[in-house]
Amino acid sequence: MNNRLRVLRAERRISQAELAELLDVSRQTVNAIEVGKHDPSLPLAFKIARVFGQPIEAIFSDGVEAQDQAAE
Amino acid sequence: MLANQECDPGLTRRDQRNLRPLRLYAVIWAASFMFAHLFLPTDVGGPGTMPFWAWPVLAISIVFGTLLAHAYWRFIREADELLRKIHIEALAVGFGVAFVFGMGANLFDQVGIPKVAQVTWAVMLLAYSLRLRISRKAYCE
Repeated sequence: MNNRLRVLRAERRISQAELAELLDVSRQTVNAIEVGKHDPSLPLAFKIARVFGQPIEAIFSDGVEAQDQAAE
Repeated sequence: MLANQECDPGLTRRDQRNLRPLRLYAVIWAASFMFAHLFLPTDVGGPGTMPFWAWPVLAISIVFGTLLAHAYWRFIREADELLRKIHIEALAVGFGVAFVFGMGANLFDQVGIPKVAQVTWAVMLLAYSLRLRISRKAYCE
């Protein structure tokens, strides 16, 4: 799964530790999500979406759309 | 504890809080188990002939073992989701290795190489600890 977490965090100038505090997870969890080593649970994905004020699909994508576009 | 700061397990405050009883019960259980192992009589010939003090010694070890298992269950259930994933992976590997090793040990026993099964617990713990270390490193690098 792909995500825009690092970009959104950079835009808002929030550190991984600060975001982790907001989400009530460890900094390592935020890092693992950003680098694509861990897919967040649905409740955590909703929390992330709330923190950034965006819908989940604007932050996370499963990569299928990109494959579809490439196929076209 | 891993030396690399980047590979620090990264416990949240809730995880740290849940880790305290886990550590406490682990120490008490280990002490009570060692005490029971060292001082319980060996050739008593069945439960009816056990000295009266042996029962509380056994009970204390079992009670603290149960409290330890409950504390670990709670720690995992409430853990940060990456930490939970790491622990569940380690538990799965530990269980799988112990199952295969334990069943294999029975075959060793069958062909006349006894006592291999006695180290099943140690093998399980080793596999669990190794996987825990590998997963922590894999997810935080």
